[in-house]
Amino acid sequence: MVMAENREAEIDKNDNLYLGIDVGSVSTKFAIINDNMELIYSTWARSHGSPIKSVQDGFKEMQNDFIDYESQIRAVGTTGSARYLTKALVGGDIAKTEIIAHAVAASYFVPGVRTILEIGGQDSKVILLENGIITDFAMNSICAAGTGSFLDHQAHRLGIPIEEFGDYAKRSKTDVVIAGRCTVFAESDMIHKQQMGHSKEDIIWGLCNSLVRNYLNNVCKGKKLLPPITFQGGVAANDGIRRAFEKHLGQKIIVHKNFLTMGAIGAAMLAREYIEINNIKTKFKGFNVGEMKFTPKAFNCTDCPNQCEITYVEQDDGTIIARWGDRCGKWTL
Amino acid sequence: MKVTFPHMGNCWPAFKVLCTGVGAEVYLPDPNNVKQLDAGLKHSPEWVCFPFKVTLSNFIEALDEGVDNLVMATDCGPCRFGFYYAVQERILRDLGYDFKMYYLPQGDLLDFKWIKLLKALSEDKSLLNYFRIFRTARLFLMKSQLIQTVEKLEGKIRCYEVNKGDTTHTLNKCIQLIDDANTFNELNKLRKRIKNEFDKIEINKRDNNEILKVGLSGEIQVTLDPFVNHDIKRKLGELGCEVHMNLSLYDWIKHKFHVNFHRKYLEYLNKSQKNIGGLQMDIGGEAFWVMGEYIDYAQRGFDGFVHIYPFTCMPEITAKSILTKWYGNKYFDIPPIFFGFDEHSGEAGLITRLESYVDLLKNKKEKKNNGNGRK
Amino acid sequence: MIVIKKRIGIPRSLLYYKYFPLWKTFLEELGVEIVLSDRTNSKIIDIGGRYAIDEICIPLKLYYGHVLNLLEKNIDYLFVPRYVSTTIGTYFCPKFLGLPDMVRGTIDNLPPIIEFEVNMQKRPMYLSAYKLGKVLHKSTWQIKKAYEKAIKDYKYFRQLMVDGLSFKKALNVLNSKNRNFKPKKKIIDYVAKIAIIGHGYNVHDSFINMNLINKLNKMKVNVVTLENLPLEIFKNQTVITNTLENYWGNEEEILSAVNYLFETKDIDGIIFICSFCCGPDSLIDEIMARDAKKLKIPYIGLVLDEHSGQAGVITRVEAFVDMIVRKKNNIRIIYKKPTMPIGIINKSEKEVGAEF
Repeated sequence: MVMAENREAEIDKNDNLYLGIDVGSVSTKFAIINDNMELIYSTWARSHGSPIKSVQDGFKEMQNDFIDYESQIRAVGTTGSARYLTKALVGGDIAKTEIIAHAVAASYFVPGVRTILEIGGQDSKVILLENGIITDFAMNSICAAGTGSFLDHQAHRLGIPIEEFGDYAKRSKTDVVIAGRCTVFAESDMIHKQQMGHSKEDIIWGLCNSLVRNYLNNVCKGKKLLPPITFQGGVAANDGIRRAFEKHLGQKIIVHKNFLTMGAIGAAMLAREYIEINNIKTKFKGFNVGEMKFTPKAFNCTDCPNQCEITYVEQDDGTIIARWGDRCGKWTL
Repeated sequence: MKVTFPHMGNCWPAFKVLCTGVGAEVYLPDPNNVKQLDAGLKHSPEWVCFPFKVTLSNFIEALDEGVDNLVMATDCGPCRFGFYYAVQERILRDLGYDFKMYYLPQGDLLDFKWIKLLKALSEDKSLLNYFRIFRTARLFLMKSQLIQTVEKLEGKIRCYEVNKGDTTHTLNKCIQLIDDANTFNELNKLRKRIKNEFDKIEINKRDNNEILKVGLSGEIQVTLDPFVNHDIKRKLGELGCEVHMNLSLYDWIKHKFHVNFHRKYLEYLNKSQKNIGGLQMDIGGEAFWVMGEYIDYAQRGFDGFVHIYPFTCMPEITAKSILTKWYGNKYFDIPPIFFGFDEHSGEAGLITRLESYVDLLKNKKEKKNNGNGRK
Repeated sequence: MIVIKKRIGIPRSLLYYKYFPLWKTFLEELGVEIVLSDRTNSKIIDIGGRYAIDEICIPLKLYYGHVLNLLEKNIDYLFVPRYVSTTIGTYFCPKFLGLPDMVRGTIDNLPPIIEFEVNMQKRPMYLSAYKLGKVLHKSTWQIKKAYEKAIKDYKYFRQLMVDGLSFKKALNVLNSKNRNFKPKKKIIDYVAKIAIIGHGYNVHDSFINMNLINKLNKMKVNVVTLENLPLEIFKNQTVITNTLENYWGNEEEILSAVNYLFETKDIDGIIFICSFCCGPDSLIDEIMARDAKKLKIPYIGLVLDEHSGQAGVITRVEAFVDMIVRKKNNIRIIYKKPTMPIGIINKSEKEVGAEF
C-alpha cells in the first residue's frame, strides 16, 4: 500500500482531537487535528479494493500510534464519495461532500482564498468563495476527461511513472494540441500524435494543456476565477498541470503542502464545528474498527421491474450498519 | 457605419453586397479557423449547437477589430436558431463589448421586415433610398444565385479532375469574381464566365458505371461551411463521388419567398410517405427537406446519401432517426451516412468513416452492375 | 371503427406530466379505457435506448421505452398527439412536432396511432378535442359535454397543485371520489426553500431524477416546483431581450417561473434540471444562470442522462444545500487564525481575475 504520512505537531495529553476521513474513488485520506488546528497526523493511501478495507487498513495503521489517545477524539467527520458508508462504519458524526470539506479547509489554511481548483481521481470541481463563504461551485458533468485516473491511465500507456509527469512536461519544447472532450477521444488523438512522431515530453505537456483547457472550458464555464487561487486534490501533485493552469490563467497558483489531505482536514473541521454548535458527544466507535469484521453482502430486490441490486454491510454481531443501491429509497439505511 | 456578419462558407459575397449596397462599410471576419473558434468555445454554453459557437467566434473577432455593428439572421423557431442573436448579444454584453446588434428576421421574407434592416443599415431616411434597397436586394439575389451555380458545378466536377486541386482553385477564383462584380451587367456576364472557367478544368470522363452519385444534404450552416464540415464535399469528390447538392443560400431564400417549387415537391414526397413515418410538417431546420431529398435521390437511383448536421441538432436528429430506420427496413435502397459536427469531431475518424462508406457504395454498385450482366 | 371500451394506450412520458389529467377525463367521458405504461424503470430505459439513436435526448429515449412497454399490454390504439403549440406565439421543440412521425417511422408493428394536432396558432384547443372526438366517432354533443368536464377537471387539478400538492398526489385526488379535498398546509421547520425547476417529465419522474424531491425533503428542504406557483404568472409571454420573445412552449413556463422567483426573491436557491442533449434548455440555462449570477441567487443546473451515476448528482445537491445553509446562517470558520499562513508554496502576485 502506497502511503504518505505527515506529522506537523506533537500530540499533547490534554488536547482535544478531531478525526477526518476522506474516502475517494482512488485514494483514502485520514487527518487528525487538534484544537489549534494543527495537523497532528495525516496520511494518504491509494485505495485497493473496497472502501471498507481501505478504511480498516488506515485504522490499523493509526491504532499503533493513537490507541492511547482514543478517548481524546471528540468528533469524527467523513467526506468523499463513500462518506455515508464510512460514517456508518466508524461511527462518524457528520458526512459532508468533498466540495464543502475542501472549501472549509482551504479558507482556513489559505487565508482570503477566492478560488479552489480541485481535481481528484474521478471528478474535478471548482469552488468560489467570498469572505470565507462559498458562493458558487461546479463539478465536471457527464465525462471524466481530465481527472486523475485519466492521467494515470495515460501515464501507464506512455510507460512513465505518474510522479515524473511534471518533469517530462517541463522539458517540452513545442506545444502539441491534443483534442477531445472525452477520455476516449483524447486517447485516440494522443495515439495519433504519437504515431506522427512527437516526443513523449511534448505529448505530456500537450496532455496537461488539454486537460486544463477542458477543465476551464467545461467546469469553470461562466465563472470568474479570482486570485488567490489554490489547487488541491491528487492531481495537484503534478507540476505540469499546475504550470498549465498558470499559463492559461495568467495567475500564480498556490499549492498548499497539504493539498492531498485537504478534504480530510476539512471533514475534521466540519465535525468539530458540528459537535461544538450542537453540543453533543461523538459516536466514534474507536480504533478497533480496524479489527472488526464487516461482510458486504448483496441481493436483488424483486419488488419492481427495476430489480435494483441492494448491497449491505453486516457487522460481526449480525447488525446491518449500511444498506444502499436502491432507486426508490426503501432499503437505504 | 462599420458592420460585420458571421461566415457561412462561400456565401459571404452575397451578404457583403447586402451591406455595401446600402452604403455600409463591411468588416469581413477571417474565414472560420481553429484559433478564432477558441474564443467562441470559451464563452458559449457547453451543450449548444455548433453554429452558435462558430458565429459567436466571428463576432468576437470582429469586435476585437473595433467593429460596433453586428448583423445576425434569425428565425421564429422552433429550433435554437431563433435564440442565437439574443443569447449572443447577452454573452457579448456581459463580456463588456459595446455594440449594436441588428437582426434579419427571415421567418417569412414576404413580410418584408428585411427592408427595415436595410433601412437601418443605410442610415438614409430619404424616399429615394428605397430604390437603393431594392437594387441591393436584387444584387444579393443574383450573387447568391451565382454562388449556387458555382457550388453545384464544383460538386459535380471534382471527381473527374485530372490535376488534383484544380476545382478548388476554380471555385475560389469564381467566388472572388462574384465578389468583384457589382453591377447587374457584370453579374450577367459572369454567368457565362463561370461556366467557361469550369470548362477549362482538365477532366477525365469516366464510365458512368464507375462514378458514384452521392446526394449531400443537411443543416444549412454546416452544409455550406467547409470549415465546419471539415470540407466533406471536397473529400467526397476526391474519393470519386459526384456530389449533388440542392441546398444553397439561394435555395433557402427562394423558399422563404414561397417560390421554391423544388422544395414543395420534396414536401409532397415526404407527406406521401405518411405510413412509414414521413414528416407531415416543417419541424425546423432542414429536416423536412432532407427527408424529401433522401426519397428523391432514392427514386432517381443515386448511390449514396450523406446527411450532415450540428451535433445534437434537434430537427436533424429527428430526421436521422427515421432515415436510419428506413434504410434498416429496406424501404429505400440507398444507404445514408450521418455526420454530426462539433468542435470535438476529429479529422481522422471522419476520413476513416468516409472511405469505408465509399468502398461500401462501390461494392454495392459493382454487385448491382454484375447482377444486371453489364460487366 | 372504434367500438366502446376500446383500450387506448398512453405513454407515461413527456407531456403526460402536463396534459394527462385533461385527456384522461375527456377520453373516459367518451367511454374509452385508458391503459398507461408502467412507471419509468430501468427496463424501460434499456429498451428505449436500444430503439432510439444514441444522439437523441433521454426524454425521447424514455418515450420509446414507454411506447414499447405499452405494446406488451394488448392495446388497440396508441395515443400520440402532435403538440405543435398550446399558446399563441409559442411552439414546442422540433422533436415534439415530429413525434408521431418519429414513432411511426422507427417502431415496427404498431397498433393504429391516434394522432391529432394541438395547434393553437391554427385552431383553439376545443377544436383539437373535437377532432379527437370525431376520430373516436362520437357525436358533437357527447364531445362538447366531455370537453367541458375535462376542462373543469383540469382546472381543479391545476388548482390542487398551486395549493402545494405534488403531481402524483394531485392525480390521486383527481382519481378519488372525494373532490372536497383541502390540502393541509404543512408547517415544518425547514433549513432552506429551494425551487426545482424543469420540464414536468424530468421533475415529476422520480426515476430519471433519482428521487431528487424526496432526497431534498429528507435534508429538510422546502421544495417548490413550478406548478406550485400562482397561475397568473404564466399568462404573459416571457421576454428574452427587447426584440425577442420566447417562442418555446415548454420553456415558457420555466422562464416565467424563474423570472417570478427572481422578482419576488422568495427563494433561497434554484435547481434547474435538464436532460443531456436538450436543445432549448442548453440556451435558456445560459440565460437563467446569467440572470441568477447578477441577482446573486444561488443557481445550479443539473444535467441528467441515463448513464449519470447517482453519486454525482447527490454530491452536487448536497453541496448546493450546504452552501445555501452556510451562506444563510453566515457560517464561517471562526477559529483563531494562524499568524502566518502555513505551508504555502508560492503566493499570488497579480490581482487581476480571469473570467471563464
